[in-house]
Amino acid sequence: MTTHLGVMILFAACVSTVFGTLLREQPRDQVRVGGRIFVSLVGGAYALGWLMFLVFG
Amino acid sequence: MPASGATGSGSSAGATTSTETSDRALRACLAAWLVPGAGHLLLGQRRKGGIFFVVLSVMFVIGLAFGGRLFPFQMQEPLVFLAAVAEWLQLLPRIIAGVGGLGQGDVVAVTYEYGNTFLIVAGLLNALVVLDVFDRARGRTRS
Repeated sequence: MTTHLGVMILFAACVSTVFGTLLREQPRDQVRVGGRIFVSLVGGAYALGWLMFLVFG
Repeated sequence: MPASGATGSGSSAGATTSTETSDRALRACLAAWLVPGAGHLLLGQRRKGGIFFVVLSVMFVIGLAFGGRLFPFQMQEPLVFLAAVAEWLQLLPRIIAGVGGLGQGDVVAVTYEYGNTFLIVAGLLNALVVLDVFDRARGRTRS
């Protein structure tokens, strides 16, 4: 779990859970918003990583 | 005359209600600052309170386990000062970790910066939780 990707996924899971719970009232909506935030965080970091690799690597 | 008396009484009752609401908000905010999720528990939102307690506590513990540092209030180093402020936004976990001698900061650990990030972000997220508690205690909820 101490790989960069593993830690990032752990971090994104925690942050998205808190935001999802904060921003919505219904459990179903919370899961939906939290999932969207999680995918955005992980996907964004992954895309940015590849972009940096292609540009500077 | 009765109308005037009723107005005065209503105004007094309104002031009392406002004071009670402020006290309730203050108590809930202090509880939320002290223990993550405690503010929501006080307001009767057990599920939300439980989620905040578990997630924010886990983030704090992970930060310590990763070798993160509990920063001191150093005015000479603005970023260190801000990191310290963020970490103190979770009061009880920060005090327990400090008293327990944890959070010395393992600078050579691969996960040192990750640990700091978890500790700092856990505190900042708790600040958002405290603000949410304040809004709810004052009756301002998201529709």
